[in-house]
This record gives sequence, C-alpha cells and structure tokens, in this order.
Amino acid sequence: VNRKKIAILGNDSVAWATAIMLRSQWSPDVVEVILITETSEHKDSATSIGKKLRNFHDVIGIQEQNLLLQTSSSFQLGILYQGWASPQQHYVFSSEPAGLAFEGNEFQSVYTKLTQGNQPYAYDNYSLSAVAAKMNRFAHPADDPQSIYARLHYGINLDLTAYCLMLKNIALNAGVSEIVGVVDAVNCSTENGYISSLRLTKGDIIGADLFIDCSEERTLIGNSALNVSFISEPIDAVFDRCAIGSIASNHAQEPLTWLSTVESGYIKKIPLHNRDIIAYHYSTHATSDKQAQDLLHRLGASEIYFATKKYGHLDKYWVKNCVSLGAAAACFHDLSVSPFQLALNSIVLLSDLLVSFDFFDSIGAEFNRKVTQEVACLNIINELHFYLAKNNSEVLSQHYKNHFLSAEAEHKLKLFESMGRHSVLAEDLLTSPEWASFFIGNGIVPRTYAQPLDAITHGMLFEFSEKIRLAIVAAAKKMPTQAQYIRNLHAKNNGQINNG
Amino acid sequence: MKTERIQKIIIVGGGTAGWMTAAALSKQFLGLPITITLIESEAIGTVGVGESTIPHIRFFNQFLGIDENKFIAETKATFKLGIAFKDWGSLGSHYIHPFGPLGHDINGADFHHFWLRQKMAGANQPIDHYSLAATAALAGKFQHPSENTELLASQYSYAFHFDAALYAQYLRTYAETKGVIRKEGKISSAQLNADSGFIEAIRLDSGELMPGELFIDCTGFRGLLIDRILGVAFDDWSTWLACDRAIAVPCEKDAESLKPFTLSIAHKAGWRWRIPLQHRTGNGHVYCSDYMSDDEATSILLNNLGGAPLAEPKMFSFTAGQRKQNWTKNCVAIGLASGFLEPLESTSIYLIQVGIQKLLDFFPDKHFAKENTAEFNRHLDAEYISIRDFIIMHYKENNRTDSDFWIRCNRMAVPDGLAQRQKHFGDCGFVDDTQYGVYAAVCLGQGLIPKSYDQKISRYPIATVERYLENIRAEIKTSVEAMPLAANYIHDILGRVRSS
Repeated sequence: VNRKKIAILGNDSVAWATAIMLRSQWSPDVVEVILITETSEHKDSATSIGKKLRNFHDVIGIQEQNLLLQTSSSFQLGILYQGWASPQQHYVFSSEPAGLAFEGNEFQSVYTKLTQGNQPYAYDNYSLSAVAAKMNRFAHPADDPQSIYARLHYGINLDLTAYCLMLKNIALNAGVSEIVGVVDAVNCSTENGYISSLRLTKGDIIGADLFIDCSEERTLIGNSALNVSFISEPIDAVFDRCAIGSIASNHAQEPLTWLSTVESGYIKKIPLHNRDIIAYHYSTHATSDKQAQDLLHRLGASEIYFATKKYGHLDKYWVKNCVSLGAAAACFHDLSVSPFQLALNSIVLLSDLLVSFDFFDSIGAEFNRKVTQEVACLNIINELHFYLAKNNSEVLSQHYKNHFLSAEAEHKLKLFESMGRHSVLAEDLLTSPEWASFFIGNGIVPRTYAQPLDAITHGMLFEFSEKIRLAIVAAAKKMPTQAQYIRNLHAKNNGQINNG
Repeated sequence: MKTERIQKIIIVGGGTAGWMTAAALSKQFLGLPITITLIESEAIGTVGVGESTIPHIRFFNQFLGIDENKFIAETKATFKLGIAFKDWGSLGSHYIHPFGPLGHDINGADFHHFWLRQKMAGANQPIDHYSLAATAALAGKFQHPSENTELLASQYSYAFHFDAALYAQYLRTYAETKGVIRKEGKISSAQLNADSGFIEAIRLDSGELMPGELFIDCTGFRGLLIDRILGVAFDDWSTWLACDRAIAVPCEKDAESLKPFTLSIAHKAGWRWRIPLQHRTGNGHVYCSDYMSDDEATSILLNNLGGAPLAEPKMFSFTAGQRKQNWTKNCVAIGLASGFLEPLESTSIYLIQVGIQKLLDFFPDKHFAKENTAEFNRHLDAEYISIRDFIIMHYKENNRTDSDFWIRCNRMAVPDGLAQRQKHFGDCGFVDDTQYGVYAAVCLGQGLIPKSYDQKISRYPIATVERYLENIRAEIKTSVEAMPLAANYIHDILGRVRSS
C-alpha cells in the first residue's frame, strides 16, 4: 500500500483537533498525519460553544469529565447580552426553545400575543436554561423527556489555552507526528499546481499528499499558485482591534457568557473555572490601546495583550490538495456562534469528504459550497447583531450611514418583524427557536401572531405561560450552583481522568 | 389586530388539491371567524393526480385527525413500501427505491460504501437485499413498523396507494363538516384592485360575484387565477423532462394485486406505471410525443395490463415545469396550477401537501408582507427543484442504447447542481444528507457505480465487512419472513373497520 501523508500547518486547537479527527478516521497503515508547528506561543483565550463540541468529542472519543479536569472549562447555559439594542437591554440568548407550544402554536406566537396585552415578563423567563443561568445553577439535561430538566440546552465555556494542550497530548499519543519549524517556501508542482512540499527555514523539506492550512497567516492557502482571494466584510472591520486579558477567580461564575456593549465597542467575558477571559473589541478610530487597556484594568484584568484582526474569509477553502481551516479560512467576531464551531463543522465535513486521495474536483467543490453557505450564515448573524445595536453605538451608527444591511439579513429581519416567521436555510447556524430568542431579546417583537390564537383569550394564554414560568423558576431553584455541580462531578470520579 | 386578519378565503377548483387545501384550512382555523368557500364545477373533470404517495401523506392525515384504518377503507387504499423500477438503468435491470435506509451506517460511513467495497472485491448481491422495505415489498409482505427503535423492524416507513377521487370525496365530507362552503359554478372573470392588482372578487358564470381576501388556485393545469388572470409565467423544464403525454386506464385486479410497491417500467420513449388498489389496478403510460405516437403509446399500455380494462383510456398533455411564483399578490397556486412533475417518484400529492403546509406556515394577514410571500415561494422552489432534479437523474443515469429517446436522455446536459451531485456520487459515492429520497439506492439502481468507496473503511478487514453484510441480509430475511402478506394485513384491517 502506498502510504499517504497529510501535513497540517498550525498549532492551535483547530490544527490539533483536525489531526486527531483524521488520525481517528484513517488507519495508520494507510495514512500518516504530521503537524508542523511554527510557534509554541499560546495566548490565553477562550470561546463558548454548544452541542457541536460534544458531537465532535463523541466522534474523537473525548469525555466531558476529562475536558473539565484537564482544562478550566466551565458550563454555559446561554449568552447574556447587555446594552445591545438599547442601554437597558438585558437578555439571555438560549438554544432551548422557550415555553411550550399551545395547541400546535409555537410559544413565540403565544408570547407575541401576550405582549399585545399586559405581559410583564421577558422572553428569557420561559427558558429553564436562561433562568438557571441567571441564578448560577447548572445540571445536565435529564434523559427522561418527560422531566422539565430535559429542556436544558448547554454548551461549554472552553478554555482554549489548556484545550489546545489537551488535544496536542491526545494527538501525539494517537500517533500524530509533530515537526517544529517555520515554513519559508511552498513548492508547487509545475504540472498541476498542486503543493508538493514545504521547505522549513532549517532546510527540511516536508512532502505530503494533502496539506491543511490552519495558520493565521494563511501560509499555504495564501500561496499565489492556488489563486485564492480573501474577502473582507465592511461591518467586521468596524471593531478592528481587540485587547484580551484575564481575571483570576476561585470557581466558575454563572454558567453564562457575557457580551456587553461599551461606547466604542463590545466586551466579551467568558467565565472559566479558575479565571475569566475578557476581550474588548473596539474601533481604533475611536479608542486607543491605552484607553482599552485602562478599561480592562478597571475591570480587574491583567496580562493584557492586543490583537489586530483581519476579519473576513477566503473565496475558496479547498483548492487542489490544500484545505484551509480555522484562522486560515476565516476570521469572525465571536458573538452568538463561535468561529471555533464553524471550524469544527469544517473539520467534520473535511473528514466526511476525504474518502480517497484522488482529489476529485467534485469533493473540493462540495466542501467549498458548504463552507461558503455556513460563512454566509455567520455573516448574517453578526451583521444583525451590529445592525440592531446601531442606535446604541456612535461607531455603528456612523457605519450604517454609509452601508446597507445585506439583502438576506434584511429579509430575515423583516420576515420576523412582520409575521414572526423564520427564514432558516438548510445550512443555517441558528435554529428557529434561537432566532426567536435573538430577535425578541433585541426588542423585535412581531407585529402579528398565529391566527388560531385569536380563538384563545389573553387570560388563558397568560395562565398557560405563568404555569410554565413558575415551573421553570421552581425547577431552577432545585438545581445546584455550577461550582457545586462541578465539584460533585469531580468527586464522583475522584478527580481521575477517565481513559475509557 | 383582528381587523388585519384574513376572513374570507376562496378556493377555486375541487379535486385532490382543492379538497386537501379546504380540509387543512378548515382544521387549522376551526372556530375562527373565517369563511372558506370552495368553488368547483361538476362539468369540469379532475385530473385525479397521484394515486401513489410517499410517507409524508400520513403526516397530513394525522394533522387532520383522520383514523388510518377508516381512511384505508374509505379510499380503497393499499400499503406501499417503495417504488420498483424495471428496465430503467438498462434493459433487464431492476431495483427498488425503498421507504427506508440501506443497511446501517457505521461510525459515520454510509452503508453503501461497505456494499461497494464488497462489490469491488467481487461480490454481486443487489443493494436491495440490504433494505428491509425493499425485501418486504418484493415478497408482498407488510406490517406497520415497530415502535421499538432498537429493532430493525422499526427502520422503514410506508405510504399508500389510494383512489384519488375517493380521497377527494372523503376530504370534501371532512371539510364541509367543518364549515367549508361548496359552491357549484365556473369562473367567468375576476375583479382586480386598480392600484395593487390584487384580486378583489371573482365572478361566476351565473353572474354572482364572490369577494375574497385570499384566493387559492387549485384549477389544475389551466391555472385560471395564477396564470390567466394574474399572468404569472411558467418555467418550462421540458429540456430535461421531455415526456409530455400520459395515458391512464384502470384495470381489474391481477395476481400481483396488493403487493406493497408501485411499479415503474421503462419503455422505449417513457415509462409505464402500475398502482395496486383494493378494487382495481391503476395503470398509465408517460411518454414523449417526439418519439412515440399516441396510438403506439396506447397500444403499449393496453397490451400490458394485468387485467381487463375498466374504462376507456384517458389522455393528458402536459409540460414539466413550475410557476415562476407560486404565490403572487393575494393568490396562491396549489397542485397542478403551481407546477407539474411527472409522477415517477409519486410526488404529485406530496407537492400539494407541501404547498398547503407552507401556506399554513406562512399564512398571511391583509398586509400580505412581501417578505412572507417571498419566503413561501423560496420554500416551494426548493422543493420543486429538489424533486425535479431527482426525477431528471432517473433519465440521465441510463445505459440504454435501444432507443433514441434514452440515448438523448443519457446525453442531455442536466442542471448544474444535479451535475455536481452526480459527479460527486460517481467519483466517490458521496451523498449529501439533504438530498431527496434514498439517493444512493436510486443512483446504484440506475447503474451509477462510484469509482471509489470511502477509503477510510479500509481499516475494517474485508472478512469483517463480508460478515457484517451477511448478518444484515440474514436479519432482514428473518424479519420479512415473520411479516404477514400485505393482502392479508389489509383484509384484517378492513374486517376490523367493518366490525367497528
């Protein structure tokens, strides 16, 4: 058998996750996987990610308890948005479908009718995940679908710094080889333009059949022989710089991710078990690094570093025998959907599509089609976040004086505003209940509700919704705090890593 | 709010589409101040589309609250586990498109890759042998799928063959009981709003003016409202779907009666269907008039009946295609008024059902928000195109050289999306989960054998793969042997209905 070789360039979680995925799918007799790490530096960082991470871990065999033990990751039941659509705005975005359907009518529609009367409660009061998160409670979803706890939808506030090391250990133990070195030349075949090898500064030549670029510099995919363009989205460039620091803590805070607007940008706080990672995204036209640093210091952050992000994405992600993933493929603001989730989706897709090393054009075309769709969806989500915050931010307000909302984002917004309906595409990254949580949280309540609800009195619907709300509050109160829950989990496993 | 609600709905045209729509709307808006009027004329016959269905019809009946056994008795229905295709890929070939999966997937690899691997190692078991639905259909067996999802006997679905005229009659009774008003009459003209072009009323040939707020065109091929009055153009797809005529004739039951599948036999310029009902067999011949005369087509049909004809052959002319907008202004086209695709995959009633379901999902108010209309049209377009491409694929993927018609089909250029999907399947057996039907079963059945299977499964030794496939065949054989004959199963159901 002619053993094939896959060379991955990068040293972040995406690179190592890709290596593990491919190593787990291909027999070592058939495929060798190597990873070229150009730098050993790991800046402290975190992200929050939902079910996709668990699905990915199921495939590659990572157990959640090990993730919690080996990293400072914590649980997350929602994202708390503060001050986006208005200074008073405060809502928890949850993946849990709010409330319950009433005689076949979605709860969102019930809520819309209630808002036309006297509805004192915010939409997130009907999500157990959101209510529990605000009360700093956590539990895993119940297996019994009849239990109220089966409603819970959770994600992970992921300690990317430690997670990367964890993945690296797994990958190396699984037989992935690491080569430390900096690429200084990309050699392409004169016949077909495929990448044939990489030359490292120390002189080594690394040949491979498939090259995967996870480098932030797009070292491989940016090679002129591959003819790939980078596309910048105007809205992404508004907040062009980021200051990141950490705040030490003794235990996990509320199982939430925090996203708050400040005058010339927004702050994302991800509470981990031993520290909070705090990132301030701002416009260099309105805020200096010194001002950003002062703000983070006031919030208690230390070890601050700065990053200038080049937001945007490639026009193709798989060209010839080179695939771009993670930072090499796209760079996005981390708002409702983590860019890491997009990277995981791409890793799974790559694994599905890589059925041989014949590199049929159809495979690359399918990969590009799907990633392009997901990138477009993520763009729409982020665009709407910023658009709905424009009246509350001078920087965004200025931007939207010169730019329009994209047609697809405007369609989604107007469809919800007018009729409370969702335009959910096949590849959408948010579900209909998540879109409802997003729009209503941003103060967009539809003009109308489902017509069959005309037959139901406001009083009946209020009573129905109150039963749900009160049951949720009662259920949340019975849940342990996140810190207790994690302590219990560790105690149950005696703090031992389960290699099962 | 309530003044913005639609309160007068006019459905023009009875038949399957008209009465399915009337039944669904009457169920959805029961108890609300909405008047639903259906106008039809005894003098205008119905096409009586689609005696053969796909499993989704059960969801429609469940939505209406129709008892399945009673439905079977009233509409002379039989069960259906798939569609058998004979002579399609090549003369003498035979396969089933089953209502259920092929084998079981392993660790994310689709089953058909295991089958391909074995085939490439020299085995020659038809793919049908790994489908419980296909095996049971060919054996004439049927029982309801098990509710225990752990069992193989739960891994299939089912649909019905039924008498479309009886179904329409059944739904008429249902709808009228729920308040739908039936009006006998023909449409002579319409009154449009001078500013908006919306339909304000339609005039009957009796001179009576019927005002409405929402008009639903179920007038079949004529498209009385959507085409003749509102002038929405038709997108002609006959470049790819060249068949333009059909002849239908019922005949007496034969020995093959009550076998739970629809039979589609390819002929030299089209194909012939056979649909077993309780009381008769439905037969038809779909053909391309460029390659076959009406007389020859009629002769082929009549010479191949399994029993004596019960009526004179009935001929239809059609053009495959779809309205450029299925909903325009305040008029929605459902059924043949919205488009026509030959019933090769039994999708005629399904497309009616999708139109109704989407109308309920995007039911308007008097504002007729354009985003809402656009979203409805987008969903319908996606359904039509998905099914269109699936049907085109049956024609394109043929290896017949016995007639000019089939040679032309094989050589035709197909829509880009389909071409890419077919190339991808042909290269490496890739199937996108969002594709219509059991895609691999049809591709393989038509003779499109991928060049390569997913090489990742080479980590399983060939002996393991063979054992795995053999176990599935054995498991299916055992399950099918334990199933009753479909004829007996229906007989028992009818007995229970009579005694109740």
